[in-house]
Amino acid sequence: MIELQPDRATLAYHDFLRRAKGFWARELYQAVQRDFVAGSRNAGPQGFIDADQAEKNLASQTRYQFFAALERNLQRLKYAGPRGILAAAEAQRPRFEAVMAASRRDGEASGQLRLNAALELPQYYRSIEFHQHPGGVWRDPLAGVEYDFGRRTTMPAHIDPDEIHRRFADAVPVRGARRVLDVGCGTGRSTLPFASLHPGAELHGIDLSGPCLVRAWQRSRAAGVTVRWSQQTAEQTDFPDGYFDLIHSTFLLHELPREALRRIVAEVFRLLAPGGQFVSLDFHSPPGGVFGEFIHFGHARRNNEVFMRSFCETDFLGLQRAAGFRVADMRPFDDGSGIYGAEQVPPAWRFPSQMFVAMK
Amino acid sequence: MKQIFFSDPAIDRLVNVTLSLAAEVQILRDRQRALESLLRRSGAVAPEQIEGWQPDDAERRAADADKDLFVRNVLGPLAEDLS
Repeated sequence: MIELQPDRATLAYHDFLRRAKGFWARELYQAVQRDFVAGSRNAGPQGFIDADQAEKNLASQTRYQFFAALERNLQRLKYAGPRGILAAAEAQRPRFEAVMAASRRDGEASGQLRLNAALELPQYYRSIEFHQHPGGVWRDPLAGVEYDFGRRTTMPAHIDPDEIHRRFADAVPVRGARRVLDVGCGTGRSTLPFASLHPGAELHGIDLSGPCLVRAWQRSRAAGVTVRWSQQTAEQTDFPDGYFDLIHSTFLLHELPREALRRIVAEVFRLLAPGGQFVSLDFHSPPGGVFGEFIHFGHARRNNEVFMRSFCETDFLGLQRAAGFRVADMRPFDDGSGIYGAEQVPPAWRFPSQMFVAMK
Repeated sequence: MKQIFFSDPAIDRLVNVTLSLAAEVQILRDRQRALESLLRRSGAVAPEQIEGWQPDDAERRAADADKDLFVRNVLGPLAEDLS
């Protein structure tokens, strides 16, 4: 599989950003928590009543200002600037474009990659640069390669960016499914771990991004796994009713406006056979009480995760039941940094990963 | 869209200057580490060797510790109590 091969200086630059993120996630986060506790004590007998009150109080405090500025700018510097990922990709553009175009032709000729240039992308998807990826992950043919490189430097714990996907596939309480669909599959990292756990299954991955799907095809070809990749919206797919017995998503739901979320849940329900399961890994119900919400909602703002808060404030289990699912529950998911109770503050910054399991 | 976190946006700019400068120092330190290691190994270095230098296990451990210490030294004051 073709990968970005930045020079020594660029690698050292990204190594610095990743280590600085580690400092931010531990030392600075813990210092902000101390300030939060002190501010909460002064706020009244109940402490801060919600994340907004905490934000209002801490926004004027120097340490939280640095915490916020580092969160925003360490991510921004990862992509932008003379040593950012986009510049590294730009330096190799002709070679990469040729490889991606050839992969696209090979994939389409194999029948395992189906792109749809006429697909109308939702307005929110086109206009928001999620997690500060300039231009989004759909516009540039190199976007999938860039995204894959970026995943390696998101957090110190993500040096192996496939680990969380293997953990999730392992935790999904279904084995031996016959037809499996990954909705919002991106570059296919979340799709492939299901191959060995569901031997012989017909695997499908759908996404809005053509460049990411070409990358996904490269990934499945390199792994020797057959996956049918298609560019379509999860709100309305072209699969028949009841076609799948397992549908899964990874880090998709928090990127969706509420109406799209509702339509996707309805579509997933239509696509599942009776008894089939929809299992999602996503961010919800941050541990650590008001502090956890304050940190998570702040992250959403600072990282262009426009719908992350609204997803947290959505009764997702109720939404699934209203769509017809017989059972819907949420289970804590250990992404490698442990599991924490609702009021327990994690010792370092982490995503509030949860696993949702719904049965038709 | 730009986000401003300090009452004076000049500080926002200075944060970025500091991060960029620190990253450049880390790049130089990485290059110096490669250079010194190659000199230790063979006594002479061609510039293209620096680009491809890979540390051995002991050098990697030492480099990791040194890089983390560098980050703590540069960013540490942000987490310290002022009083």
